[in-house]
Amino acid sequence: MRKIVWLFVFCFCTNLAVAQNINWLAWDNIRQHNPLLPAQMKQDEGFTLTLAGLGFSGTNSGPAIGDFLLDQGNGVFTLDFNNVINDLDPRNDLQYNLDLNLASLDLRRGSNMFSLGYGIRARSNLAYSRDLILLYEQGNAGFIGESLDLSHQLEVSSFHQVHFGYVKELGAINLGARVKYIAGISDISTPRNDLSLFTSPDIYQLSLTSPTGITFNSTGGVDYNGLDDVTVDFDAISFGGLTDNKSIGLDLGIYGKSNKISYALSALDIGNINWSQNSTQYSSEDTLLYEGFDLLDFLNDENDIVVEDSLLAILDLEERLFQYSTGLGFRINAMFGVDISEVYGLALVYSQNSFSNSLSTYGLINKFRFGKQQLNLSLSSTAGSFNVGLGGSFSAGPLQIILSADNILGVLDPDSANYSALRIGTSLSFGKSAQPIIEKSDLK
Amino acid sequence: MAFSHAFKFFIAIALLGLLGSCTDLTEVSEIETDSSGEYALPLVNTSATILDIAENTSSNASVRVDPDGRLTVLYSAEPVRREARDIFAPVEFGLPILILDTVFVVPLPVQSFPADWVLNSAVFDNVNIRWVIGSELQEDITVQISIPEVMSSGSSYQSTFVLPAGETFLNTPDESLDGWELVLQNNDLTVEYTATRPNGERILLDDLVFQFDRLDFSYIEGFFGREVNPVQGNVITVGAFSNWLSGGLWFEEPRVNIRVENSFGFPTRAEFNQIRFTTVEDNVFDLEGEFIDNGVEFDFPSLGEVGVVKRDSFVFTPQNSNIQLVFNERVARVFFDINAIGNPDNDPSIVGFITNDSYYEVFTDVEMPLNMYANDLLLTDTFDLDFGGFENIDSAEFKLVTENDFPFQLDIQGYFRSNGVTTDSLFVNPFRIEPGQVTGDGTVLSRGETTTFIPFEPDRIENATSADEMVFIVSMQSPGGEVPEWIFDNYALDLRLGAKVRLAE
Repeated sequence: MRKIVWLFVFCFCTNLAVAQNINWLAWDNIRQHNPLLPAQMKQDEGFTLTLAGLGFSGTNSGPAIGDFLLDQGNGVFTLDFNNVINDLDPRNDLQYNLDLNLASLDLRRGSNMFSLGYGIRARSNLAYSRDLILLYEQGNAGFIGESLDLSHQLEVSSFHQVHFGYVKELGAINLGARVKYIAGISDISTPRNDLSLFTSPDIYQLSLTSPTGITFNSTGGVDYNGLDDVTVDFDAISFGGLTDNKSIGLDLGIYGKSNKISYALSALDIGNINWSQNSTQYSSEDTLLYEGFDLLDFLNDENDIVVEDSLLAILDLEERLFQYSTGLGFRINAMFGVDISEVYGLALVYSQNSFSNSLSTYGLINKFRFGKQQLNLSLSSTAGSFNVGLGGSFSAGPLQIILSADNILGVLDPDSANYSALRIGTSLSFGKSAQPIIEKSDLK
Repeated sequence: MAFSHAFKFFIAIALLGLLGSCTDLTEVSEIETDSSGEYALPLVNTSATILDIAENTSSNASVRVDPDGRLTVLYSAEPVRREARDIFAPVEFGLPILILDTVFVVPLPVQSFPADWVLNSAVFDNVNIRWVIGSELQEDITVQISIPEVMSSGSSYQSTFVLPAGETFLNTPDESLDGWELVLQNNDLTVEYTATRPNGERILLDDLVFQFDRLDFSYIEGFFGREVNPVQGNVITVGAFSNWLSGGLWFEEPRVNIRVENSFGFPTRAEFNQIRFTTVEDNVFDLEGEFIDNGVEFDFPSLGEVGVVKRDSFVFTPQNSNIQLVFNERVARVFFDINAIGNPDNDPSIVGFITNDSYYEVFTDVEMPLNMYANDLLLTDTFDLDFGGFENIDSAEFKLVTENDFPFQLDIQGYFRSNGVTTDSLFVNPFRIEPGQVTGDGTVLSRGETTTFIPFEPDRIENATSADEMVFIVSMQSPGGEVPEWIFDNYALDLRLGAKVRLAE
């Protein structure tokens, strides 16, 4: 079991990831395509080469990970939820995303902008119930005669992404779209498994009930030979397999600016990934009942009675080749901004994803502009936690560096935070100088 | 322990995302899971009737259900079977028989037959005959041979051979006699021949020899003499008392059944040399009674019933033997020694038959109608234990639920033993399974229901998990005293065991 847990840790230490990055909804002087707003036009004419960019975020609606993954020293950690049981909601969500933009090229010609880019994305989404943690931490002995809700949903996947984007400026409104070629790398996922465990008051007979059975899918990441023999080999980052598990995704957006008002709306990651290479489904019966073994079966059998074997046999999963699809991670973003002065502006932002409504983000971003530079101070709420974020857009000659963190404390101490998001973008622009961030005339 | 492994795996899958946000993951070398929870799980869930137990055991016991549901347990011995081949084996007949005259009588060479046998008729089975003819005359010699006792379709055996000129010997090919009938007088064969020269002159051959390659019959009719075939003693294990410690179990109307299947067509008598009962205390009692003294005759098919299997049985009951007294002395084994005597009166006027499919088979079983009572019966048994893999248990509480239809009160105690030393007991006081309340026709008025919790705190759990064997002692008592009660097929004992197990941190 430790090996399994450790393997998952190993997999994830490389791909902590994105999600909201709300500061990127409020950049005024951006000289590259905006990954969150497909309709936002870069400011300067000509080519922009976007260098390696990195975005990641971690969000959870339950307790912070540092509250239950306790450091024992010497690299030894203990999973202990005793101190956070009361902080858990009936349903808890976790999302971690990594967006690794390796290279892209943007070209603006007047009212048209084109972009082409390649990157790798990895993510892990999990929805789990409080009862699941109670079962882990306390066992089922305290819940005899009761049903424990063990429902869960899991999605751990990574994929290549090649995008082609186009933005058209139509007066005060920009329309933008990005078509994305997707090639899946690896996936371990479940649909929502509605699952309950009932422990009978008689002699503690166990009933695991699920309307459609317990199911999990894997594309080459799991070697399952029974519950006591599972190995996980999840390749989050891989530069091979560019033609495997092919799919098409789409980003759409609207961006408008008029005098002091700016607004944007985007729908990202529309579409699914079709997993077909070495894709396997493991599933159980809809009702698993374990009542103990029948002594009569052993009257004429010289084999030892092994409780472990009989229990594992009941919980065994059926394996079959199975093509399936997972969502790209549909998200919507909205922004409404007002420029108060040449230096200061405000933007209200909202971001929501399809995996969990509970992880939606609301925010107010204070924008401070100093020539070509911009500094953002964001106040936001995600998963019930209040966040103070900072972002900066710094330009010097052809170079622009954009750096943002939606929760400063989350960056400094992510173990204690419910929300942590960081995104870095670097670009080199070769064309006409950027327009001023805001015209004085706009403020009249 | 598997239960926590299964849950931990499930939860670890669910928790993997959680681990992702740890900034110190690069320092992680080991994740320890907290297994100190308390898990409840079922261990044993058995509902056993007498029929269930019989079906799931490979012993020599079987259960018979009467139309009214009453049960009878049968302990059976291995059947003893004798076939015709065992008694009258085929004669692999290699020696030639020399014919010394044109009419020559030879005895049928069947050494395996009893000394005073008389064969009236028989049918050859897979038998060939061949001849060797010799003459020094340098001319064709025609030889006609007949055997009047060998018949087929009303005609006797006849063959004609020619010894060509220039040859001194003729070896004839094999002739099949399959299906030919042999009809004898005084067990003798008569060989007649005529040897003729080309001019018609009859001569006496220098050599005439015949040979059966083997001698076997599919049917023999006659008198086969008095033949004694021992049905060797067999042991029947009667398990009811195999683990007896003290007290008694009284069975009303026990029986020993001897059933015979016989397709030999002559009288056979069973003489019981000995039917001996050995008790759990190794005391020996011989069965006594009319059959023992006089023996019994098996039924057999008559000459008009060739191929018919006759079935007969002889039952030792309390009415014709001392079995009631002997059996309730806690019988563990029954030994029997029987002689099956063919033609016991050795009367040659009784003509019988044997076919090559003839057999007799003796089935012996001990019948215990479950009309019984228990009187302070104490039984014991010992089981090997291996608690490997259970070292992580901090404490446990077992819950035992029993529901009993049988009209017996049971008290159970188990003792943990390590290296021959008792380390602990399963129960503080013996666990009592109350008797069911039943009527004479097998209706269960109420089940004897008992529930108990058996705590094993940390200071005792080691006593249990270190044990290498467990000794059970079961006390059985009929609450109605010495009044036999029938056991019916619907009676069941439900035994359910669950456990709450707290794992050590």
